[in-house]
Amino acid sequence: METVTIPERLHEKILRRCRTAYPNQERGIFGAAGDPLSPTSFRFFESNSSRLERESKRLFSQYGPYYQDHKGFVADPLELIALDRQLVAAGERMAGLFHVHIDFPAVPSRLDVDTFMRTTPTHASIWYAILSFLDPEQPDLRAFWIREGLVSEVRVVIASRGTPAHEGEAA
Amino acid sequence: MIVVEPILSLRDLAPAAATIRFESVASFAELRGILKAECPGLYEGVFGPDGTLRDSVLLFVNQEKVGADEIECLVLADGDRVSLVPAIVGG
Repeated sequence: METVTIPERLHEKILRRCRTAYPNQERGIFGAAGDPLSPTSFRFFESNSSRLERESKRLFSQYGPYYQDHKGFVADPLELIALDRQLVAAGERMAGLFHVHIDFPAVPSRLDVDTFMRTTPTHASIWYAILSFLDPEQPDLRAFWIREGLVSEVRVVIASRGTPAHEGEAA
Repeated sequence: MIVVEPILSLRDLAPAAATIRFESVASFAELRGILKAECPGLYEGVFGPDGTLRDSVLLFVNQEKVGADEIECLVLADGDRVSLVPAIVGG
C-alpha cells in the first residue's frame, strides 16, 4: 500500500478547524511541491455558494438526501482559480482533495467516486482524503486513490508521529 | 496573446508550465482546434468526443463564466485569460 505523509502542522491545522466547524463540513485541497504523496500545504475552501444552483440540486438528488440534509458541496470555481494561482505562486500542484464526513465512515461515497472520476483525469496523481466524525471523539482520516472506478486505500502517516493517522490519538 | 490556464487537476493534462500561451487566436472555436493539435491530452480531458465542453469542466474568460450556449460564438481578444476549471463536487 502506498503512503501519504502529512506534516503534523497541516494535520493539526485541519483537525483544529474541522473540530471547530463540526457538525458543519469543511473541504479543501492539499498542495505539494514535488511528490504528491508528500503534501506541503493545505488550503480550505471558504465558499460553497454554487451548491445552490439548479444543476447542483439535480446532481445531489440522484444520490440521496444530500441536498435536503445540507450535505454535499460544490466548490466555487472562482475560488478554485484563486487557489490554483496560489499553488502556482508557491511552486506547488494540487495533490489531494479533502472533505469531512459527519455521519459516514472515512470512505468515499458513491457521489464522491462518481464526481471525482468525472473531474479528475484517470492518470492524475491526486488522492482523495476524508476525515470522518462518525466518532466525534476520535476523527478518522483516511486517503484513497480513485482510478477508473476503483477505490484503493493509501496509508496516511502523520510526519512527526510516524504512525498511521487512524491509529493515532486524534485522527 | 491568449493565455490558457488549466486549473488544479486539469493541470496534470497540460504541458509542464502552469499556463499555455497562444498568439493570434480570435475565437474559442479556433482555440479548441489549436488545443487539439498542440495539447491533445488537455483537449481530451476538457472536450468530449463531439468537441463540446465536458459538463465536468467550467469555462471562464477573465474570471467571467461562459455558459454552454455561449461557447460556440465566443470571441477572444488579445490579453484574454481562459481558465478551464474542473467542477469539484463531493458529499
